[in-house]
Amino acid sequence: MGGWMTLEVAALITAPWNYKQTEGIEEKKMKLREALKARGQIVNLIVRELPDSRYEVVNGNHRLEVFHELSVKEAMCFNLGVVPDAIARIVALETNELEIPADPLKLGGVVRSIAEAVPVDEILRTLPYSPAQLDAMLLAANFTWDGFRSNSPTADELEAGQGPKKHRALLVLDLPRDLVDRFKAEVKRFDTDAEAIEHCVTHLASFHNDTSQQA
Amino acid sequence: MPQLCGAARDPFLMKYFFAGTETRQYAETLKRMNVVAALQSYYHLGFKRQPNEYQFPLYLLDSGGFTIRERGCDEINVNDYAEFINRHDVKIAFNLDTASMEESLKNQAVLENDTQAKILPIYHYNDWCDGSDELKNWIDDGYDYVAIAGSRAPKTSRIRFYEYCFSIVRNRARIHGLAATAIDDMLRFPFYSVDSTTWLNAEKFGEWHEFRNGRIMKSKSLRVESKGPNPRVRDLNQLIADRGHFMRASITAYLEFEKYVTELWAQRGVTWADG
Repeated sequence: MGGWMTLEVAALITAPWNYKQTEGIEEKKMKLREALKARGQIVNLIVRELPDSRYEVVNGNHRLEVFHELSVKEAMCFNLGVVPDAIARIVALETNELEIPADPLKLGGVVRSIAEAVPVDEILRTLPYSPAQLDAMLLAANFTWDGFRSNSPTADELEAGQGPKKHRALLVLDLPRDLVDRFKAEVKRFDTDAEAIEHCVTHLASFHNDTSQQA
Repeated sequence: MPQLCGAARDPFLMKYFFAGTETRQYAETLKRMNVVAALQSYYHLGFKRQPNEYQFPLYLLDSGGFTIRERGCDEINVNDYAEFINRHDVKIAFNLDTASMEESLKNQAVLENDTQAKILPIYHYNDWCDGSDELKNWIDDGYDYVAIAGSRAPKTSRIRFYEYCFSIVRNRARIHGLAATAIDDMLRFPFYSVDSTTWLNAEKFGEWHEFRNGRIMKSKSLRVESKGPNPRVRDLNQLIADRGHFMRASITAYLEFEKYVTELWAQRGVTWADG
């Protein structure tokens, strides 16, 4: 019999056909974990019964992982009962993918109203926004041209600007083999291309003389 | 997949210039989707090619100076560039920028003297690092449209650079962000226009973009189906069949984003009148 029920987390297994991403979602999982820690389980899992008395999670596979991490013993679930694969997958898509798009401007307004009551760090802990995204939404409330700072470059930035500009150059030279080998050996002694070239140019005449004498 | 459609043009829209349109196939796709803003590079076009063959109503010509500096080969003669601008009656072009501000200023003067085009001066991240005041000078001299180039700088420094630029320019001139592809930057700084080749990632990497909730969401690369020591590569024929669809989806995403950014900045009291 299906319906609403509380199930032991140990009896739940993730769906092998779950199509959600598993890589690159660490930050979202961290936020999910923080939200579950802060407010407990609010959204139920959807499961279906398997022949071996276990339950396959149709919707909520990532939450199940977090339940395990947090050692949660029981979870509120909606049990579809014994249903074919196709029905389980349809329900997964119906409940996961039927997302009504937000009006971005109204969404920004809601976020700003939250920011008036809750510290930014707290917002970032659980809501699915990066600091930059949150910044952009919060900026809408108080944009002024005076808000832009007339920054001067830092020491590192000054160094980046004042250092020698780097140019890539391809030189095609017609040189004797011995001289090329000697050049390659010399280049290895230096940390940067610029130092190597400077050394070789300075000593080009002596290289050439040495090589001619050896020949 | 998002619905594929072209965008009705709003004269006050922030302008997203689709770069990389020297390839005719890409330009045709954009044209079919009613895209109106395109950017081409003189360097990539070559001296003999006709610029803006597909007659995009909003068109910017870049010199390609940056590309040349990156590749460390070739060079562009400023007089050839001026002749090209004149021959094809290009209305707006970027200066032929070099690693030296002094040389860039000379090129700016040549192009302004020898052509009828509006020549946008370019202020680079490195110019700021060098302590150059030229951006301020340009604004004081009455330039009403300037370009800034900082997209390759580390993020923290790039933000500081943009902050500096916008604190100087404010609403006295329009700013074009060269290759300003970072979405967060467009939400944070009121660029009048930007250009980017990111929409071509469908072609380059087999990924597509979607506009959702004020963000450009990027799909996983569809070129590779699984990672690990023996990655399974997606069926090449299918990838080729799909890539046109991915590209159109990405174009739609950027057109929707363009509208969103405009609305967002309008909420903040910033609008862009065409001029």
